[in-house]
Amino acid sequence: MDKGFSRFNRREFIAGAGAGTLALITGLSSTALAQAGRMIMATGGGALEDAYRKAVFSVWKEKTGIDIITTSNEGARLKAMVEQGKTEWDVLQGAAEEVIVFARQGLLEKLDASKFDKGQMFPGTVHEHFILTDFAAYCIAWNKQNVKANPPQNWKELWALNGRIALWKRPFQTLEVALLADGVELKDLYPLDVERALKSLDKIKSKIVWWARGAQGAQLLIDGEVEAGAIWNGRVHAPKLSGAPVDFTLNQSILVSDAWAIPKGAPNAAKAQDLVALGSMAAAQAEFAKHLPYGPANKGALALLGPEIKAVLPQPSETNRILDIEYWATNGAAVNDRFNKWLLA
Amino acid sequence: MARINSDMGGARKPAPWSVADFYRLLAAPPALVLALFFVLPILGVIWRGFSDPAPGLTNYRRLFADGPYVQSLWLTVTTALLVTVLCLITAYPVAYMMARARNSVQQLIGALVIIPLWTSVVIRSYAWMVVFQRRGILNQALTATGLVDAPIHFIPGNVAVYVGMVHIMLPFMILPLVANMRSIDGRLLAAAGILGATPVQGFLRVFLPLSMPGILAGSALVFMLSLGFYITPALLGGPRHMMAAVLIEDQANRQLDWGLASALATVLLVLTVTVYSVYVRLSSRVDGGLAHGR
Amino acid sequence: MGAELRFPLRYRIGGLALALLVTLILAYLILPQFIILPLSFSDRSYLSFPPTGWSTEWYRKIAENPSWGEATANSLIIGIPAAFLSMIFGTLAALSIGRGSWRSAGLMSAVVVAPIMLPHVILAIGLYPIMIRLNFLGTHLAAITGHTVIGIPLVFITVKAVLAGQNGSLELAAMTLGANPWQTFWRVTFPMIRIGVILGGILAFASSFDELMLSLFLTGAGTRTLPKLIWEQLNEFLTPTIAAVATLIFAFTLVLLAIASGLRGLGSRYQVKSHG
Repeated sequence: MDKGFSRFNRREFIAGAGAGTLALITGLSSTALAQAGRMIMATGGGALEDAYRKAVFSVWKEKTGIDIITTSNEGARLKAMVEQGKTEWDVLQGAAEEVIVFARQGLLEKLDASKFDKGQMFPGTVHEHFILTDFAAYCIAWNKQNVKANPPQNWKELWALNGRIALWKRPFQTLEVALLADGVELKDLYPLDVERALKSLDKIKSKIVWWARGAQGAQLLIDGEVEAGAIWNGRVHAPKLSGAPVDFTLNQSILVSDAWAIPKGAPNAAKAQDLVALGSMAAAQAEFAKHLPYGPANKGALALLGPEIKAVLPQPSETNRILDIEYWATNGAAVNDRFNKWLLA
Repeated sequence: MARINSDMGGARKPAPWSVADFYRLLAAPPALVLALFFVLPILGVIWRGFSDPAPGLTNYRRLFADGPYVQSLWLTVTTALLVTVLCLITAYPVAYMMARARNSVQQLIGALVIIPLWTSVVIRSYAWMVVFQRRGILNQALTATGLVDAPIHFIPGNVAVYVGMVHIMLPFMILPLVANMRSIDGRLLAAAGILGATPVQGFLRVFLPLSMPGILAGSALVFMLSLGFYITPALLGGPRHMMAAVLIEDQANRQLDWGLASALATVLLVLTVTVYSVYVRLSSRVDGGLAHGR
Repeated sequence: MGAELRFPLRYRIGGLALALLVTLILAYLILPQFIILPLSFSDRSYLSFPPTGWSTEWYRKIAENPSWGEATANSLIIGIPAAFLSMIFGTLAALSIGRGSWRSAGLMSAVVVAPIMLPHVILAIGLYPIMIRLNFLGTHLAAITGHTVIGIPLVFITVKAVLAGQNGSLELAAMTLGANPWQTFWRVTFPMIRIGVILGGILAFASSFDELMLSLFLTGAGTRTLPKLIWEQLNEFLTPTIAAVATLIFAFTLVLLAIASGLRGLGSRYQVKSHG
């Protein structure tokens, strides 16, 4: 039987906790929609968001006085918002090969092409509903403690390496490099010969250590869990500078991009167009490149950067290939299924 | 059900009520909450599986055709089963000790169970990566003591995945076991001893059967949770450990093919409801009907 | 308790073996903490174990960055009410299905428990339009509701496990003696199942605290939870910051448990022992 003392304590605690939490919940309304002078941009977060803040948002704030609130850029959330007619985001950033899928599903507004300096942008970066803003490289990296001499400088050499090889567990970019390892020329990559790529992967299947997230892949290389592998340059660039035993080469890399777009029904669509345009300007692109090792999509930005920085930035050239997002948008579903089936076999 | 008429004392005459009626009423609040916030959304999901992008069975046809889906579902179920069994074996001794120990020991064990529970799954999985690395502490210990000549490649591999997954799931097995074991009367065991049973016999014939509801509860819980699991297998396992949840998330978040994602989720749902119904039938038989006041 | 039985030596060793086994298993449970802790003091900016040098830089980074404190606050604001509500609704459901003699008890149980096996993104997609219509999205209510839905099964299963170990005889006795349903519940049933409710609530809180997808969908722009910040790190490369965060949570949990054990010491005098 409960005596008075403890029961009193418990009841009071429960009542207090209940009232307190209720007050907290209703008091902490987190909506930013109703407030003027604020815009919302959905990004991938982390260092990317920090770089945007320094390169774009601060300039935007000076120019227009508008604050930018960032939020997470889940594709499913975008679709849910647009479907319900309650779009909260003004601008979104995502991986280009995913943003094109959003475009094809009718989830994006058309961009106002007149706002972009088309002559300055690399060819293929300005699309109807989105714009590519940077180039990251899916490149060859190795652990310096495991691979002391003759590190692989191209995918063929990586395939021939004696030891474990790390690759991204998705077909995007992985199939491309498998073809390159098999001797296909950079310019002949698309449309992908999926079966040939899978056969090429079959040759090293026992050596492959698959990674699912960028940080995991970087950790595999840094820890020497693998000898070498494929990773995005951004994931190993900073660790290398901090003294981690990794190194990489941009030769034969596949260039992937972030894309900016405006969701359909964005609350501040007109201003969003200006914001996207600002992000593509040479000045903003140069500033961005100073914080993250991604090449600018705007050629004009290169002129504003010093030689040491330019040397490490992935830029479209004959030694690399930009991921063909049109190919992937059309064939992604089928290729993904085929790849997953191959993985499970 | 027992019907109580208060003719007993003869003093007052409140309306007759039955125990079962009262308990049935209790279902109303959770029923409302779940109907609105679970059943309704899920009906929408199931519907979408049959209607997105066009009404019909296209999504289901694609699921059961020549893709990775069936295999992945099978992998998911078998992995979940194995994790459940391993978890049960590992959890039972701990729960046993925790349920029967002194207060202070009980709290200590409880703390050791709850602390990992509140650490993020992501971080814990990375810690296991550190343990199982080629140059990790496990390999260092193995090579230093001469048990192996060269470091073992634990990652990716079954050992690492199951050690990691069982670690995540262990508290979910231990706590229901303890909750049930605590209500087992210690005097029954003492009585068995007095009647001539050895401790082992007492355990097998008295304690174990009485802990069955806890075993079934913990197992059901861990099994269901494991079905939706993907972080740990992704970080510690190989392609052999591709869980269905990964595929569903990929379809829902990146490919934005909600029709397919919904269909896959529906299949998973049907599987689980079936398994769980079996569990309930099993568990009611195990109670011997005691729990329902019959 | 009855008479003390003196067991021969080999039974004592059996008991010792059990204690040893349990200690090993508990060491297994706590092992990651002993990796995370030193990692958080590493002087390198990437994860490397064992650490080559020591630094408190990562703790400083957390203190300097308001996002971490904000995220923790958000996770708590969502998690505590969600755990609470899960305890209430989960217990009600367990009592009802456990003692209510429903014919379709199996199906009902399955529906209650189903939320935990579904990938959260599916539930999020399904809940989103409902939350919009109810106008919950502007506050934390939407996330709390979502987390309650996935917390209810945890409490339900745990409480049902406790209930199953008892028949209804004590309640019947109480009612025979004239107690009305509410009195019977509060003074007889609840103290017996309390352990299940609390343990279930702990599981529910833990599940909310680490939950990513529903939080992403059902919170407003700019509302970050702890799992979200940790998840972002996965997109780049890992710094010991997340090890520091985990260690802080570990320390906080220890404090909580110490408080709880202190409170329990106070209340233990008033515990109802079921079955005598």
